[in-house]
Amino acid sequence: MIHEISGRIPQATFAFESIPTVTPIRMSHLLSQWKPDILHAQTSKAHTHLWIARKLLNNAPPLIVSRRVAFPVSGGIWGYLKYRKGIAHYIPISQAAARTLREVGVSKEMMTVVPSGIDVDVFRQSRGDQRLLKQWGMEPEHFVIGSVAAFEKEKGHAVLLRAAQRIVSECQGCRFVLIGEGRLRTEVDNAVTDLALNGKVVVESMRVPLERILPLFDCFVLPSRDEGLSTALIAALASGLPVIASNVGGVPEVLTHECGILVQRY
Amino acid sequence: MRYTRAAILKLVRDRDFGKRLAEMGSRRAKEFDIGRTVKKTFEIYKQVLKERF
Repeated sequence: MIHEISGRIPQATFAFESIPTVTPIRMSHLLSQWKPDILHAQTSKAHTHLWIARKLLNNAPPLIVSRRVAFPVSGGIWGYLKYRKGIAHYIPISQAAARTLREVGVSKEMMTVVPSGIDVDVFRQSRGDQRLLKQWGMEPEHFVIGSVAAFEKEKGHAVLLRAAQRIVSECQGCRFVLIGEGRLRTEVDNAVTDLALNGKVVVESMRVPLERILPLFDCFVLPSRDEGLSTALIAALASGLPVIASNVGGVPEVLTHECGILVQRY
Repeated sequence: MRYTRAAILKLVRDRDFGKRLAEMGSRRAKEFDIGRTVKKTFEIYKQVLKERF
């Protein structure tokens, strides 16, 4: 389905396929109509699908690829092909993400590190949605420790919950708020119950914009096992929060010992 | 787990330390404003298109 934003920017939605077949064909048809000057893939799946779509075109526009993660490029035929041919330029979001590209043979000349950014002023100026504190059951005397990250294994929620169990027993006023979406949401909910943390740890979906959530925290924790860079981390800094994060991937490129607490990866 | 726990308890017990970190962090965040990201990305677009035409 094609939407129009302000009548000027056309949009199309595609399903990324595990074995790209129909979507690249549909993409190539659309590219023939729209005739863009440049293509920019923001994720690995978009990269794969656009890479194939270009092969179906006679005069395809150049393809730029962003790399947002710091784990190794997956192997296999797609991994081999799509990182070696047909890419005009790579944009890793951190030096850590750039290293993963160099590991598969992408030259330094073919890439430029461009860190992800946020609208800093939006976060600096926001006072947060105070009604959320009430919904979460927070009282003024509570010290609210927040984390915003996808509920995925590499984000380290299991470690944070084990730490939370010890912390709430040592510090009665501490409360945790975990915000996110993801495949492990149910596991996180179950862990909260299993660790007897109900009422001490709130698990929520991202229902409101991040700038209305972060100012409600007293500190921000990112216990990831891997990170390309983390815009949530940058947003937490912009919101004026003290930040604790694992020293992994691109995190130390944002958070230094002068402006936050870097902890050893577990 | 013990490092994360110790770091959180440090912030809970030493609020002045937390405030100092937050102040430095707020300054650090300015270096990651979206304006810079957009500008650098457009520079790459222009470079790629220049090579093409």
